[in-house]
Amino acid sequence: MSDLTLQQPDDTGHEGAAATQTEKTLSRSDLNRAWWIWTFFNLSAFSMERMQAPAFVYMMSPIMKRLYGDNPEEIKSALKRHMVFFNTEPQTGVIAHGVTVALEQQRASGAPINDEMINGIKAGIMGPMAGIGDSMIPGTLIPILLAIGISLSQGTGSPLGPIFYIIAYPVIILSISYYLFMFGYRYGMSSMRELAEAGFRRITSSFAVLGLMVAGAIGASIITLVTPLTYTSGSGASLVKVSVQTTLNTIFPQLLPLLLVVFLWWGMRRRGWPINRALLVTLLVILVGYLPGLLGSIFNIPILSAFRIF
Amino acid sequence: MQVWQAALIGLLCYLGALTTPWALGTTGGWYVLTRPLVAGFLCGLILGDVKTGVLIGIAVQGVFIALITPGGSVPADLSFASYLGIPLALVSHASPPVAVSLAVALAAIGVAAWQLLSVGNAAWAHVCDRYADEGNLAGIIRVNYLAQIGTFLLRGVLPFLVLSLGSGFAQSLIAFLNVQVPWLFTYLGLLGGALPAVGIAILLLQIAPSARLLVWFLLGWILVVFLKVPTVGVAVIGVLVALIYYWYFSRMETEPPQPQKAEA
Repeated sequence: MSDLTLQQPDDTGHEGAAATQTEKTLSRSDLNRAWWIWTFFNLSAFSMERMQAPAFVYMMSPIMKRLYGDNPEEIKSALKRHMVFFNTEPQTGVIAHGVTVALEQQRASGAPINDEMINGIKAGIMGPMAGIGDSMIPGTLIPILLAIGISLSQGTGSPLGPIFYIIAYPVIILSISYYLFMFGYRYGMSSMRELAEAGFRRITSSFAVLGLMVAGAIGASIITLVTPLTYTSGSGASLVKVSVQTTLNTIFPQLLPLLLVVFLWWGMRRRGWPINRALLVTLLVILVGYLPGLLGSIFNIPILSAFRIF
Repeated sequence: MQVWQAALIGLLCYLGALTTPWALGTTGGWYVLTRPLVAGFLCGLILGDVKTGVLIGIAVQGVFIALITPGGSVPADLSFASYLGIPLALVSHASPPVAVSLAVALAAIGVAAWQLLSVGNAAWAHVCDRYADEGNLAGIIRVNYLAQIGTFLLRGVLPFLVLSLGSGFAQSLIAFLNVQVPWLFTYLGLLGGALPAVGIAILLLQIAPSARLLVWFLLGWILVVFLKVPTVGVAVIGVLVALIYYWYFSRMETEPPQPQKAEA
């Protein structure tokens, strides 16, 4: 992909083309319309086969009309060019859309840009942006905002938490999305490399730090896993029943949930459990801890009852 | 449940579906309306018990706190968890942990609905191809609207029918089971309390590129359990730590030192 720099129109080639084709321009409202269409329709005709391609064409429609409005052949070739597979994180992946619009404009103005180049650049951006977007938006931003919302309503059931989330998320994400779209448009191709070199990985790993700390806080406050297990200590008259959970709480509160999370994480990461397997494991962990006590209470077997872990 | 209540909840389920454009696309639909926290609140409003709705919403939200849908593969279907699980739990007076178990089961069933839709919609892509050959831009734009038919049937009409016809049945079933097999609900309650662990583990899997980064997760956990810092407080501390990390440490980790800078 190193030859992608070709899309920067070199002066001589550009002047040659400009003799036959006039410089095409796009207005701010064309760009705004394209972004709004995408924001609403990004998954509306989603299918496993072509994913977001129909929405991408719809997004390009005001651009195509402005650039090629008087030329049905150009419209036809643009439609075919953009009906190819497209998929990215819909809210942050719009960098790809901005860049594509910029390329399409340069192409219409006579720059030597062909279909393969446009689709190569689109595909080159949509992949990384899908990964980065997924880990930043549903992976970090949404859990943080939800955690704040949960903490505003936890215990009381107050509507404040949901209302906070309903307002905060769209405002934050739409600002980011609009900025990224325009960013992509302004800088065209070179932006992506510049941004990548400016340390995309540094940004994501810093986001991961924030996301992980919040994940720890959420986990510690929403998972419930306690044991009714007791043991006896002392002898004779000073015999006392001690609750295991009370002892655990003095040493490390919420230790059982932490162990469960780490166990599930280990299973998914090292053993490659799919999510359903993780759910099943949780089901079994609870069942194994609960079953002896249950059987003990049904059949009145004290020894079994004592083995009840949860 | 009244017919108008079932209809409103069915409508919300449709508006919040992953593929519905009307509520600001995925932003306002999937990522807002269909989050269980929000769905619990809205279902509570419709069914006349906001407080219980929000509490159930919070409990269900715990499991799905970090649901990521990479490449359109939906691991758990939030639409049915939020707009079937939560209202059914509400009308049956189920406890929040029992509601969690119910929602998780419906989320698993709903994945089939999603797969049906995302495979079936491929037919629309072929219609688009034909329009592209004809240079028919308006046709492709129209497909973006026509593809809503499937989503509406699956996410609006189906939940409406289930809720209006089935909520009485679900209600009496849960009441019956509650009396006959009370241990089942004790078990479901325990399970519902522990299930958010899966959600948190998935989140860890998604955002921790290396196992060493788990120290940050432990730090957040410890701030809560030992120092009793509220979640919002941890988020604020997290922002500061992330900035410190970005300015002073991340460069070391991601960029190896330049050899020419090395001095003897």
